[in-house]
Amino acid sequence: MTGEIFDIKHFAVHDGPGIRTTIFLKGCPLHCVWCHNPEGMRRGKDLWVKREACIHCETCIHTCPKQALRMKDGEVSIDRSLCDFCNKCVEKCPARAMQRIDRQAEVKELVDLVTREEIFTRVSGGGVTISGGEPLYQPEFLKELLQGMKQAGVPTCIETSMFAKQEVLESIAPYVDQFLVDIKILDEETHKKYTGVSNQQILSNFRYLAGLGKPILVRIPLIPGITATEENLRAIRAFVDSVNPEIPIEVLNFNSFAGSKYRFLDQKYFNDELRAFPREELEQLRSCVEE
Amino acid sequence: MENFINLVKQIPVTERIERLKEQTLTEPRYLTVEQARIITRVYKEYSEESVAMKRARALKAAAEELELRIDEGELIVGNRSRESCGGVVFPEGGIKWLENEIDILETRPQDKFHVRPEDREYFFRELVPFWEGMTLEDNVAAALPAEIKGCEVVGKLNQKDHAQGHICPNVQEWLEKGPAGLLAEAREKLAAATEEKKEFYRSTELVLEGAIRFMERYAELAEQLAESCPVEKAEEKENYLKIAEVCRNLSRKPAESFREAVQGMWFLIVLLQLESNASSFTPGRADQYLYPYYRKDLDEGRMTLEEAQEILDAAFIKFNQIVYMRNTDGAAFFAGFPIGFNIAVGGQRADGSDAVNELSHLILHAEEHVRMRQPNLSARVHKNSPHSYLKHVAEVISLGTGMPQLFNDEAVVPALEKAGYSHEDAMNYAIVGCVELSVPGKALGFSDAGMFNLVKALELTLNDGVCMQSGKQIGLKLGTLEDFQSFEELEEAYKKQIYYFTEQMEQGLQIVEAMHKKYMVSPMLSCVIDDCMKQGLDVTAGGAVYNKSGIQLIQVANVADSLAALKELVYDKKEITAKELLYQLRNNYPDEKVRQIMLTHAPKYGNDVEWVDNMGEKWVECFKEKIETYKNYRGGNYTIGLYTVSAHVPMGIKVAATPDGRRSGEPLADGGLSAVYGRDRKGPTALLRSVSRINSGNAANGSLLNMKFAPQMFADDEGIEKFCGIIRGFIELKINHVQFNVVNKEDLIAAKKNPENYRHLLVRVAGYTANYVDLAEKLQDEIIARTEYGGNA
Repeated sequence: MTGEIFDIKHFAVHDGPGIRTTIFLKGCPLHCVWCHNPEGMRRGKDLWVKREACIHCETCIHTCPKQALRMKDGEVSIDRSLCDFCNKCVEKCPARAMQRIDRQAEVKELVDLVTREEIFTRVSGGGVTISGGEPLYQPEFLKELLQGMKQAGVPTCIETSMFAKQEVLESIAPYVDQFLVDIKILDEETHKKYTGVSNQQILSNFRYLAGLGKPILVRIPLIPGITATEENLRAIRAFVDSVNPEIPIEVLNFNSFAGSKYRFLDQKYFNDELRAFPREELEQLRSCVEE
Repeated sequence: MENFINLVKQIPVTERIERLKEQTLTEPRYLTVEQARIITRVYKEYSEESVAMKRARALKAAAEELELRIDEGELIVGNRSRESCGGVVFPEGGIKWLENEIDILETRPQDKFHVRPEDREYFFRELVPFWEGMTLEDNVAAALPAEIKGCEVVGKLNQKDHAQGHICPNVQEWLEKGPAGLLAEAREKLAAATEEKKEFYRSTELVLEGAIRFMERYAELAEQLAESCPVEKAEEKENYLKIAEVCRNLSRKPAESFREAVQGMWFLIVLLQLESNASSFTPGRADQYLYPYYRKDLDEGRMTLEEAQEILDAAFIKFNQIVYMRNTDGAAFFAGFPIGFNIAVGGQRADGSDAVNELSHLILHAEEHVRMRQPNLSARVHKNSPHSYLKHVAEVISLGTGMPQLFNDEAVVPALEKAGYSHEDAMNYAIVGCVELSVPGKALGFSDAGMFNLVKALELTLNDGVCMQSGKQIGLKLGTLEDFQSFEELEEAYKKQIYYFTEQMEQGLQIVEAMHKKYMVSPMLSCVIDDCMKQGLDVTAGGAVYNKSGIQLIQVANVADSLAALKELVYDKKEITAKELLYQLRNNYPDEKVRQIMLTHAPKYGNDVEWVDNMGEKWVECFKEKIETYKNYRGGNYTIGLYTVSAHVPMGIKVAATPDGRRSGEPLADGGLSAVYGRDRKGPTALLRSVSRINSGNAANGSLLNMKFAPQMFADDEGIEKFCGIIRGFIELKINHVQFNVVNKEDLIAAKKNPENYRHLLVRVAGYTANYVDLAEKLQDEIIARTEYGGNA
């Protein structure tokens, strides 16, 4: 079976225990304004120009049969409404700056890639982490992928927003060793405003997962002025406590690396001014979720 | 052991050590001709005698006459010049370069030295005319045929103007017998020797007498200092008296206390340095041979743990007070004085049990305290290394000094056995200099005999043996890229070129080593290398148990990347014609689009692509098959090293544009087995798998892998544990060596811009650590460009 992915990272050290390989599934039902992987948001075919690699030779522009490419402010710009993904520009680009984002991947192929890392995952207590996008957005593929990993003896972890029907979680939970779950904003209206969806399903799924008794780590991305308010963080801690106070919460400091990805996609990041929290502020925010 | 480690880690660095460190870092460096005067006088006075006798007398005279110095608060004493970090002029090796460069020593970009006018005057008046035609350098130059010299752009011959060094003496025996014990042996042997051996034993007798006098003189100086010490400085006076006692004891008998053993080890290093002015006289497995002294003093209540730590800290500082003065080109690429006093901790005993002891951890902690360029600290690891040890090693690495570098017993021991070392000796290996492998007290590895530039050989293969930079015919005329109808034909031509240059180089090495035997006779060194004394044979003449010569192959990554690009893009997919590519290479890629295609349209070494990695391995194997057919000058075999130190920069300058998309003159891949900087895109685990495909068993002279991690990787205990996972993986993959830079790219960029704010920033260059701001700009840029792992992105 094949699924749609957009990236694979070996030596992932921030996605669960030990040294892991993270597989990023493409497509997400949420549209968080700060999204760090904008290229993984939409399902389906897409391409982008890695601008730092582009040598401005305009080979792609001359190659495109649909005239979907042009120079704009000194950079190659893609009109995605004209592009039919014939891939000619990707093949001809001398610098490999023009790249397809989406890739169809077989379960077997991914299992092979992950098991190559066996030495490192074994000695470090690591494994595979399925992330996204939103992994639950491709439920059948996710299930087969997790099953394949388990059969190969690879410890599994998924990183999810939990935004899916509970049946989806039920179907995959037996094959997951560790859940990394996002609770971004506790207030429903604010959640809607910044992610595009209600959080009711998410919170109810969290209760369900907590009841399974498998290891869960709640992670909150610290987005200045949005998720990173003491009020929100304390509210999430209180909610988690009401379900099971043993469940740990981790905050993830903001970083501004995503900005360039939006430019590669001819999009604008929602706020280019934001910066990571300095140590003292980070500690203060962290104290809101740690007992 | 974990409790012990915690105890050790709590020992603070003392004010004494901080002060001695600062003093060492800030003392101005001077060129010194003091020893040169003594050597020259002896050569004149004994002009009728053999070189062996002259060298022995010159060393003895230096030991008896050089001005000595003991600094306030020093625990370990001894140097080879009055100035700390003196730039010693050593005429026996060669002084031609200095004739041209003495006037720019103060102003050259790297490794500056002040020059006193009277020393300059003496240099030109006395040294230059007297030594003309007598130095190793002059004699090698006269002996080498033009054809071999012409081939040096591929098969570069080293050690043409100084002694080889790169050797690990038998420190244990030196401590157990002392110079007096060895002298008694030498005299006994002299009395019984045949006529032809007499000179050897006579020369060892002379140098050992010198060694004894050297130690006595330090005792005398310390006594004088104690006497003139004001009453209010009772502690200082007591220390001088202690120094006197230690030095006097060492001059008369074997070392007894821990402090005597450390001082004795250091005296030996200084004496060897005095004899040869070379790089990398190596203390070796100090945690092993010093342990009995440490245990005894501690158990019998003569020393506290804190005192042991301070003695080691003090020794660490001494390792930074001897430097090797290189010419301007050398200084540009080996900047920051990589003299290679290599200490290896941990590893295994001969029976395979783990060898980590308390001293291993004290030595690691000394690195945490002192954090200077030297000693070059190495940690041996193996599959049963204790976790607490790996963790301590990882914590020290996280400090960012680039040390300890790691050596993997699982790979190194089999490689040494394959090269002819016995199992027991291989298990006892130490590292000399940067990453060169050797056996303590038994081997002259001649580790840096030469460097073979495989990438240049490929350039010549593609261009009918003609250098693309100079237009000169250097290699064989076997056609150009356009003439090779298949990739196999190209490979066949490459093999022939490699064979040709290997033949030339090997003949050159024979000549260079013959000159060493003639002009670099080393009786002091021969006293501490088995079985020179037994055989009555100097180490340069083959007196060691093991006689190897090491040749470095430069550079696997560029060869693999270039051949993979040729195969894939010219022969298989035909994305570019042979004619077009040859034009682009000869003209240094006038079309950037073509360069980008060569760079990005074919897979690269370091990304776990098996067939590409094998392209590198294949040519190591090819070279090995050829070099195996020769015996070196001393009757031993040649060994292969896969490292460059920092020669990837100067060697890159001499290579034209290559099919991997590298421009003419750009550096080759760093280190030895590293991927070309920035081309390993699949992370450190993929890189390690690629590296593991280059058979470490062929690299008995050592190999080198650089990896760069962001400091964030070590921010918490979890990160350190994950890093230990990388180390464990490295062990299982049976890779010889790895070393780590732990530094932010932003800091490197800032340091380049504002060097004055980053004087203490250390980086791992390639088998050695240097202050970043001392490095040449090209090398600074290359370190910035290396791929970084474990950050946020």
